[in-house]
Amino acid sequence: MKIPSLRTQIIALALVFLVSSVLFFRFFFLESFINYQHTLNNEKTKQEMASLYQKFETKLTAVDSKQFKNSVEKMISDEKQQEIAGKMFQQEIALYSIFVFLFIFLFGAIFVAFSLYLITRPLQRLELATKMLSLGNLDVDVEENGLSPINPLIVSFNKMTAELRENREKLLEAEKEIIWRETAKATAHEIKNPLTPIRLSLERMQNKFGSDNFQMVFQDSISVISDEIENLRKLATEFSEFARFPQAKMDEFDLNCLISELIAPYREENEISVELADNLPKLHGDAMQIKQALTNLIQNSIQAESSKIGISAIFDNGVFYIQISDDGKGIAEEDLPKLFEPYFSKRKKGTGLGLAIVKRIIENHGGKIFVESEIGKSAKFKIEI
Amino acid sequence: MEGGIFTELARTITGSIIAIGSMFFSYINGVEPYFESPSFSVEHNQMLVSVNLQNWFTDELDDIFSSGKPIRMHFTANIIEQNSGKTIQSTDFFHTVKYHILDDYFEVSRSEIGEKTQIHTIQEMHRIMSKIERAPIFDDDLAKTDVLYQLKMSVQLPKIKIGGREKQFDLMPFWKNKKPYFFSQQFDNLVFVQ
Repeated sequence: MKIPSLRTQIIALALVFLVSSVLFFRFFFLESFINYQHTLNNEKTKQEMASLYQKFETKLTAVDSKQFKNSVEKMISDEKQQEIAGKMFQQEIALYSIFVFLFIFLFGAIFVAFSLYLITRPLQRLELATKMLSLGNLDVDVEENGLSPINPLIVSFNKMTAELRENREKLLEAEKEIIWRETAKATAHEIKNPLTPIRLSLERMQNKFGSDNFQMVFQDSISVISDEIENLRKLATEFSEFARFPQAKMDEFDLNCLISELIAPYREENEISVELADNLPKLHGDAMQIKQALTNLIQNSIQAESSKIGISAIFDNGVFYIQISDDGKGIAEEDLPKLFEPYFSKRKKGTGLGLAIVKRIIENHGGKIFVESEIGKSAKFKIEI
Repeated sequence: MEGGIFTELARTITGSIIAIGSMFFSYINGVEPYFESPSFSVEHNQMLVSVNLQNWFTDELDDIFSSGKPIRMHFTANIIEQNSGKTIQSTDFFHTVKYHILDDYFEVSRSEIGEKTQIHTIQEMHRIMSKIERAPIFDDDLAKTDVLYQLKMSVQLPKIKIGGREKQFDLMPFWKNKKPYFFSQQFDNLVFVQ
């Protein structure tokens, strides 16, 4: 059965309440009073008087005076009793109507409270579920209640979360496939790059074998092959680290201390200015991962041939704002959207994983990272966490 | 509309509300009557009691008495055996008052003495109606040796039909719905010897 809309239900409830209140009075007090009034106005007294008059008019002298007296007395007595009863009836109505009004009021209040309970409690559940959903928890379902007028909303919400879960699974599958393809492509590319100089060095050695300068060529080629093998090793290590990205170990830590510690070794060879707000609250997160993210950004600035690097941290309205800026060669506008994608790099020997790791860490902490840059002048990374 | 389910439901619910409400509130300002000065005597192998009911009438009750409607006060005297708590003799007495409008007098009949009295003032009616005189309450042949007894006497007002209303009107709210009563001191069968 289709449940009417909330508005219709509230209107219906108000009408039922109003009609039942009126009918209570209509059927009980009013009807009783009308019946009583009818009894009073039935002209019984008049008829009896007329009857008495007709009966004794002509024979008043012979009449049984006692009977006459009893009849008249009864009439007067009835009149008096009706007067008393009417007075009492009025008093009864005055008092009992209060009982009935109180009952209707209480009944109505309970009814409304129960109705509101059927609305507000599911709404609270829905609110909580929405909050959880906004935090990324899609495994949330709100308890359904067939009596609640907002049940259709809950059913829709549950349907929506179910669809979101299904879509997430599909998306994950698709992402996985894309990542595997990209990884395979990037891995092949990165492996191919060192292989070419290795192959060329070997060919050169082969060509120069037995010649006078073979010794020199040999030394050069060995050096190239050795360097390229080292590059391959580093590449393998970085891929391995990215693949084994660990689960964050959340704890509270002092961000200022962490920044001070991590920049210390870089300060020997770079000019780094630091601007950290006093009394920053403890940051809830994985200190090691945050350190890795900030380190990657500093290294990124250094690799951009910056002469000056600036780091600042402030806390405002429950949010940490961390900024790392440099005066390096900047990032081209067309590269900005791809900057945090894995394997995107403009450097010859870059893996393109550094900034991808940064983004992943910040997002794992529920934060966001933005970049602003002016090509040839500066770059600015802003983190909100 | 008569006999409709809703009408019956409304009547039942409203009746219940009123019944419950009446337990706590009343539109009648009642009084709390009490028995005063009980005295006992023995005559013809019967124990007799005389007692007065005090603080028992109100203006509204007087209006009802003066309407000509006969009103009967129902007295009950129970002799209770102390050991068992059983009532071994129960006697009912009735004081009835009827106002004769045309002749302007109250006729009070008291069943314990089998007497009808004509009274011309309401004050006197109050006095006579409240007076139990030498009412036989205990026969000596029911009294056992070495057993203690006690008299419990109570009185109540009737429900009457008044003014053509269908519903019976209970007069007890004029006494705050409490039956006045009293317990005598304990006595044994020796009262009949004395």
